[in-house]
Amino acid sequence: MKLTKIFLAILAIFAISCVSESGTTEVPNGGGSTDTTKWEEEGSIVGVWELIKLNGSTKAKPRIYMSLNEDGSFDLYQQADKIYWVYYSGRFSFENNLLKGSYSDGVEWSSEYTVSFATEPTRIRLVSNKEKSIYTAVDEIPQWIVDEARQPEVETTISATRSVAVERFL
Amino acid sequence: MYRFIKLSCALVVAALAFVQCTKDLDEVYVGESQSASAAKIINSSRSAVLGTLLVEFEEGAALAFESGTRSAGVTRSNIEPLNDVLLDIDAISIERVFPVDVRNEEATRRAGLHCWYIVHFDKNISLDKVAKALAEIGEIKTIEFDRQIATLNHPCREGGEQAPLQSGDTRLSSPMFNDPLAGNQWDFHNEGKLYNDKGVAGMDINVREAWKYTTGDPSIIVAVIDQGVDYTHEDLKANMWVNVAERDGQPGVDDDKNGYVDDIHGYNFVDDGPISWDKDVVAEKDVQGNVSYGDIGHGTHIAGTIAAVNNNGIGICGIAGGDKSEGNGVKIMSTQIFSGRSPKNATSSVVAKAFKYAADNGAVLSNNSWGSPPSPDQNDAWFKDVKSLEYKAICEYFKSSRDENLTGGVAIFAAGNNGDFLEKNGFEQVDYPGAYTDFVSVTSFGIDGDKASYSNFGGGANIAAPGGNIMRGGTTAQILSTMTPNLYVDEKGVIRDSKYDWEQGTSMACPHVTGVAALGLAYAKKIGKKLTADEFISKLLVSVNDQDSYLSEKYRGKMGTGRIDAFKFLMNIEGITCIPVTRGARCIIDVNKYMGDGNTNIKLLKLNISSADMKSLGMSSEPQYLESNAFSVRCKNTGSAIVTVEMIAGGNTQGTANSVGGKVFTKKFALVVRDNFASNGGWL
Repeated sequence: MKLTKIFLAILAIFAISCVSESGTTEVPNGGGSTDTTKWEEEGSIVGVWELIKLNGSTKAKPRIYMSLNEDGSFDLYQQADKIYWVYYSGRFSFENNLLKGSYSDGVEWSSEYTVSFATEPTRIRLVSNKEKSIYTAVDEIPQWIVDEARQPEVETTISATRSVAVERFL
Repeated sequence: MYRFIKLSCALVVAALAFVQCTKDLDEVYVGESQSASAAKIINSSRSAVLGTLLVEFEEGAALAFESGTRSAGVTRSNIEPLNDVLLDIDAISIERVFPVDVRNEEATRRAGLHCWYIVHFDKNISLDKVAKALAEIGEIKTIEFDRQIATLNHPCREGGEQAPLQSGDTRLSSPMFNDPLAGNQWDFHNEGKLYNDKGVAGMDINVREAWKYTTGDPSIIVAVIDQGVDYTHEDLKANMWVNVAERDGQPGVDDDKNGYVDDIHGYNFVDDGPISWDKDVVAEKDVQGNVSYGDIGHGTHIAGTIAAVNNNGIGICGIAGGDKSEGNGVKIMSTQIFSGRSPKNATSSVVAKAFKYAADNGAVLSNNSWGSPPSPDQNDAWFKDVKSLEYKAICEYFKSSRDENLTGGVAIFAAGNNGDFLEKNGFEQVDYPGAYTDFVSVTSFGIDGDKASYSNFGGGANIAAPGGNIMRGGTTAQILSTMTPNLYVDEKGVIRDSKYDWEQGTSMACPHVTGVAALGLAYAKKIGKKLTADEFISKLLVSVNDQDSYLSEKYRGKMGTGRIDAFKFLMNIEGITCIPVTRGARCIIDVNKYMGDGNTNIKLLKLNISSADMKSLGMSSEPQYLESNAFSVRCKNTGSAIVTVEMIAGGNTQGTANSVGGKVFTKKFALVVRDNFASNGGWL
């Protein structure tokens, strides 16, 4: 009887670990925290979103607002490697839960993102190359950010972070 | 120029006297074994206030003394040996240095400040003899002569006619407010068009950009520790701090029981009474030709830079002066430590009381445009050991001041105006207390961005701000601010008769940093950000623009991190900057590029990252510091982590207890490792 209970306990644990990532409980991420959000494949990508978590961290992340619009255009406001806000725009596509896009200057996004959705509150999760970003729905991008965001700087010299393998990270 | 030289000479004399005072103490005690009682006397009596001594009792003894005085009168206690001494010296009074503030008595006692007393006695009796007699009493722990610890960073005035004030902002583009004299404030917005072509566009504090986010917050109180502020001034009164209980209470009564009577806008700690700004207004010259000044509107001028009321159709703009909507400027508290030519100006007890009052009554920022001229004997250990009462009041008590969004008082000091003297003598250091590692010391530049000739520089300098330089651009290349009208007469008999006037000095540079600090705190409140004092100062010191490119070569690296930028400070308050790193590659991180405008004068020390984060990011070794003042990292995994960069502001070496150097501070960044990044910098 005792052995049976142990066996059943092990089976239960194994069953939880084997659950598929899509549609049910999320496995613990690299940050060490366990997110129990229920992520679904169905949902609407259109909306205004604020980045709230990057790779499990709510602090080690840039400030990002993005508006993914009905007509396939997007507006992106970021405070990342600059102390001020920078504005980008462009077009995106969303098909089979794959989000990808390009900027208005012709530069492609750095990655394609697999998207899943959660509710209460409304959120989206973007996954690419092992990076996980979670965005929450907001009513609008703060007007002062819209007013004050600057155009991206054109870098003509090697940027602040130089890697040996590549000339520019941007 | 002549008056400037004379003033410099006066300051040299004061500096030499100060150095000499320190040596006298050694001469008294060197060569003889220092008894335990003699060790209680922590400074020299030279130039100390006569008939006055500061005494710190042992904790238990102080309590006994207090109960004794209540019943037995002010010159008696429960300590019989003390009573004998008091009798011998014809003691007039013995009372707590810090009067009881019922709201803060518990904090006062925790800090041990209730143990400090001030003894008043016959002025004809030798201070040293009284000190030695008191030192024999076992219940007494410390004895300090009440000496002037600082002088005003006197503006380096040029005599002659006052420059006319030009109304209208017609020379500048896109004025934000309707203050008619704002066009004269190049320190706020410099388009480089003015002042005999000496002006350089951008040599300002970039406050117009910052004003788009906030213009102030009435809950923030800034203590102007200085000459009295004219709280009736037309362009200041709406932004003066008001002690409502005293304003609405009975004259002559301590309505709020904070230990002070009728302290409606602050207090005059020199004269122990109401704030004043009109004493000894006529400059005097002694037989050696040294000029001494009394009240010169110093505190009023400083207050205007910080919080003159904006957009009221009157006068000038103030950095954190609000925009006239619901009186939303920060509030100025006048904590007066200079009054005319009083011998009690800026003594240990006066300064200590001012800081404690500021903390007890809600000020978490203080502007201090004063200091003691630099000398080789000065360092942090000296400041801490010798100046015990004021050290406790400033470095311990004021530092514990609290605000909802800022935990810890921030004290900002002027670097001092002995630059020419220092340069001639090959000694590069700023005034104490500003040079002390916990404080921010502000150097000065003119309309062309170069160091103002009078500005101290070197060891202890943390940051630069506009202070004006008449040598480059004339009278109007100084700083325009509010002034006490009709009350200042210089040695040539010229009456400064204006509600607004130009001054220059590190005294004027200092309130620019204080005003920016106040604006930043207002923004923190707006966005709900909470910071410790260390975080706040760290963000302040990196919110700068390139200075070195505009400096003569001999001053490069010696003025602090750079020129204060109000907009950048607000952005740094806002959040953490990311440092992007490509996975798998050896990345060289030039941290400077992520701060200020990329040309801050900051020496990197270390990039700290937790072992857990190193493991998570697949870093097999710690970040490597490179000779080029950068770091090298290699991350095998994608991810992100908070890293802390240690840096030095103001020099290449860290200040120690025995040598004045740069201030070590830290700044957090988010290290973000990805496989690749969009080539235009876009996040997606």
